[in-house]
Amino acid sequence: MALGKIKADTLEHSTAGSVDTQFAVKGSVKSSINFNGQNVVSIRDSLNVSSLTDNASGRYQINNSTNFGNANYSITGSTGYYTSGTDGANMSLSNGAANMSTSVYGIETDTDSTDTDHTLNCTQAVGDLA
Amino acid sequence: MIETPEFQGIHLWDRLCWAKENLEGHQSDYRVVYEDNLDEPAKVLVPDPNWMACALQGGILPPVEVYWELVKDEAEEGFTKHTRGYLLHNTKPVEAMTEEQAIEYLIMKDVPQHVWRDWDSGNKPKLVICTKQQLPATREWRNAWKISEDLATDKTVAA
Repeated sequence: MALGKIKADTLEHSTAGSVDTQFAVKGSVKSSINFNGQNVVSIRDSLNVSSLTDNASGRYQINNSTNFGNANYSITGSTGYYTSGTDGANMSLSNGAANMSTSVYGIETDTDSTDTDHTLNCTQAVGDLA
Repeated sequence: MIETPEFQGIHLWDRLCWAKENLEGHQSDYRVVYEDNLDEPAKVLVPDPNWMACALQGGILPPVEVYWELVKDEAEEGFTKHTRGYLLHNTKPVEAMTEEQAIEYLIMKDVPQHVWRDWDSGNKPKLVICTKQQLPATREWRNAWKISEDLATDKTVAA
């Protein structure tokens, strides 16, 4: 990655119109993680994450490397199993797993409403960084 | 080993993107087990492989004290958004760490301060650094995990 800068507020296509670059800056994923929540919990890959805390069965907190500007950023995620499908598997945001802050957010994974550990867990967070 | 560009003044997120593109992730065997609430099971901190690569490389991560400043700001009544995010980007990055130093840094960043500042004041430690092999092999009783009273290095640290 070159460290040079191109500064532009707008990108303009020859015929299709233009778009403000802030859509890309503000709208892209700023933090993401893919981890295994079973057996010895481990992180497969990530962006802007310093660590994952295994809080309890089906309860985890993701610790960001770069803080978000405020604690109202947006998080999406999905969960399931590599080998046996995803029937009944859910992921939800959880202040019970961790109080959401600019550096931390918590998630819960369950199967039919019982907290359970799943092999495949992915989250992405979008928002302005500090 | 690839040389780290001069990153002071570059947004931390941009540095992490550079690292992801140029550094091989490092899966650490270390885990940090801690208890921050007697009514809850022990928690296990898992280092991120990309973050660990940054720590081992050096010149990328800010000093951990910068994070403490942001925690202080966020704890202020009426906090709405960070106004000192520049501390992350403009403070001189820390030099390369050993894996053990990186774990200590991570504890001071991601474990609650009241746990690590006062980790050894009770009847047993509130925080233990161990290898993942020292954790229970299955999660069957995960919600009952506590730091073991017998912390010999050849035994599991939580059960």
